[in-house]
Amino acid sequence: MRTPLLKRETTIAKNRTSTAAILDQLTLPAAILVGGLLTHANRALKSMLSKTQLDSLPVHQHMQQIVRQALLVRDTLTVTIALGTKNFRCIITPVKDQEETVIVFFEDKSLEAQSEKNNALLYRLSLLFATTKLSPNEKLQVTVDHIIFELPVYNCSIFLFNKMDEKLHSVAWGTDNIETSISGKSTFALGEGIAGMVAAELKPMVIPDVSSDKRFVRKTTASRGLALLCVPMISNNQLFGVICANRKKETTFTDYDVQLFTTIASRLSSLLEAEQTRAEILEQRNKMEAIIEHSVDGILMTDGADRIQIWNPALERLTGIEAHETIGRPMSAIDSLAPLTGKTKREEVTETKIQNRKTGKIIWLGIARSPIRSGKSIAGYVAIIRNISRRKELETARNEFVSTASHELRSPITAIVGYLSMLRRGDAGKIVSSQQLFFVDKAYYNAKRMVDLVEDLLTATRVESGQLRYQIESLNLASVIESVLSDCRFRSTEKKLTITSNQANNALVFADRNGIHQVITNLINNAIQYTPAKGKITISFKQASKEGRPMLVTAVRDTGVGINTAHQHRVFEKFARADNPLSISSGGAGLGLYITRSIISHLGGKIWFENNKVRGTTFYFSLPMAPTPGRERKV
Amino acid sequence: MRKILIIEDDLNLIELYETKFKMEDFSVLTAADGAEGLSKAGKEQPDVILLDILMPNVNGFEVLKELKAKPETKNIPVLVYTNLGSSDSDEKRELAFSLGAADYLVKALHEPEAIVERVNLLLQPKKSPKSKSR
Repeated sequence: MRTPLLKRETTIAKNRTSTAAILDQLTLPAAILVGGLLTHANRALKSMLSKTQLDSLPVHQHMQQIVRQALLVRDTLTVTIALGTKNFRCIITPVKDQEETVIVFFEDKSLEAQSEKNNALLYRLSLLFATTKLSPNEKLQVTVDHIIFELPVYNCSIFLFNKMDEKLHSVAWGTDNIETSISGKSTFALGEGIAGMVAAELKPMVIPDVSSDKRFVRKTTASRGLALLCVPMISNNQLFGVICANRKKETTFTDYDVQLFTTIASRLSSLLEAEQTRAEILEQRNKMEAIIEHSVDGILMTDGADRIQIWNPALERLTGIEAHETIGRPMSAIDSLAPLTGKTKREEVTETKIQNRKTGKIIWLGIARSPIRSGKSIAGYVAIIRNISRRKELETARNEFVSTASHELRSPITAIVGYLSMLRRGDAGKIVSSQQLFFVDKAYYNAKRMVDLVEDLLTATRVESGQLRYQIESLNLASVIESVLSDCRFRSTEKKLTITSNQANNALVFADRNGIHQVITNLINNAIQYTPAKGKITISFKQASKEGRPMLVTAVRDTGVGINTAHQHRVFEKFARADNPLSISSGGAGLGLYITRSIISHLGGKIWFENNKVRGTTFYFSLPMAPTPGRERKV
Repeated sequence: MRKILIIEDDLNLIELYETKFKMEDFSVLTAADGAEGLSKAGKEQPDVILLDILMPNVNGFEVLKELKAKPETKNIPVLVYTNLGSSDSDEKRELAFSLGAADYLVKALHEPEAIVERVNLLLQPKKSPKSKSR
């Protein structure tokens, strides 16, 4: 029978130990009494009462009576007792399942009065933070003054953490007693002194006696016999600074004080955080305003209802219309900027000609406009507007120059080709020797190449200014190839090249005849130019599909020198001849493949190439297939 | 004999086309500018006119307008030809046809032989082709 009893006592003892551990976590002073004897006093109680006071507790007459009563009625009872000079309200609670055991909580009655004062202080601080027009640092100083006035502390100071130098700087300071005021050092690095340590560890610290603590660095005669409390100011894991207070070591800081200062610190950090956010927003706004005000380009913003929100000074200068005439009005009211009205889901780049209302000058504007997306809906538009008159002038001048230059070049070539063609035809009598004919042919074909070059130059200009226009029709590629091959016959025969064109059952495509003629001419001329004598050029077709659409892929394969790897990425660029004499060009200007690609992509196709395994290059281009008349289209 | 009037300011080209058309049994009249062309067209009543666009003083389009405005020249077929072929060449072709040109071509892209063929097409009674070449 002894064994179960022993077990029960062990359990109770264990429970007591765990109860004691829980009580130690509390900031509220508390004790455990078993059978009228004090078995445990928690840390808060030990720091509040002296050893003598603690020993006198269980034998306190009032206490004994009430503990007995509480155990008897198994309910919580309250009694006020005097210990030393202080009055305490004791709350006595019997512990369930533990005989003769009660927990006693102590409330310092003098603290109640202080507690009311403290609440009033916190309230006044909230009002101060929320309403006054003081600067943040002035608010901190007023806080310090309030603390000194309302709380039993000698000195109080606030340090702010500066992110730039990572140091704490004293910004507010106050004292109740000039004799005990601690002054001097006003800056602490992280980890330096008590303030620096609190800032580094982000935990409050209480130093019961600074003169005997090595970590305290501001030792003076005045600091002798002082206790120090230092609490970090933190909000959202961000350190704003620390708040420190001193009082006499005899009345050192309790957990209650720590709690109070932590509350004050948290109020202060909220204030500082709000201040910081406000400053950041202000800075952001100033930056944005500076961009909008000083931008050389016009900036315009409209809201979801198409009303103008921003009309910057540059836009005033461009249009001659003042911001005050436009802000808040619908975009559609500004007639001259029609491209800026209407809905679009994507960015748009447009050009428009307007007359400046003040100067009357006609100018070209380039407009880049994009929607402001808010979830799935569009909350307005932002547009950047630039004066592109100069560029337009240059474009026009260039087009005119190319036009005039090509006209001037063409006139003599027309005469050269004209006479040579007549000579070859025998209009001036039969050419006698085969060498004479050979020379004439040479002159004739080279003059024709010059015609092609001028044509390339003109086409390239049209490509650049986006003025290529096509007449899409259903045409037979095989017949276009045949006509190009007959034009090239002289050159290919001269080099003894074999050109074969595989018969296609259906080589009908949707394309522009002139454009596709130019594409094939360029590709075949290239192949002829880069294939050594006795080489082979093969043209073949195959069907493919792009997004379900039937496409005809034409391959032009040569046995030429191939394309140098270093130049492969530049093949379709303008003037791709570069420094390599064997690089790509149709006739010499390096425009051939540039034009070819532009035409093919305008016609909805693609062009690419690969070097053959053995030798030479194959160029491919695809074009949308046209249905064979009278037959079902094969898909 | 068929009569052709070439209105062209480039003497080299006048010479070229004059030679070619004479070989093709045309009676060839030439005019080095628009005013001369207009007066010769009225007086000589050619069967067909070859008209350049870019000329000093009066350009080809204005000449074409006048030709089509006068009763005595309005029925003569006019082949507008040019070596202009800039970015607005399509507009030039369209403008020529809208002003009553019978055909339009770019000189550099057509050998004299081809121009003769196009002119012959215009002189065939029933046909009035508007082939759109480069």
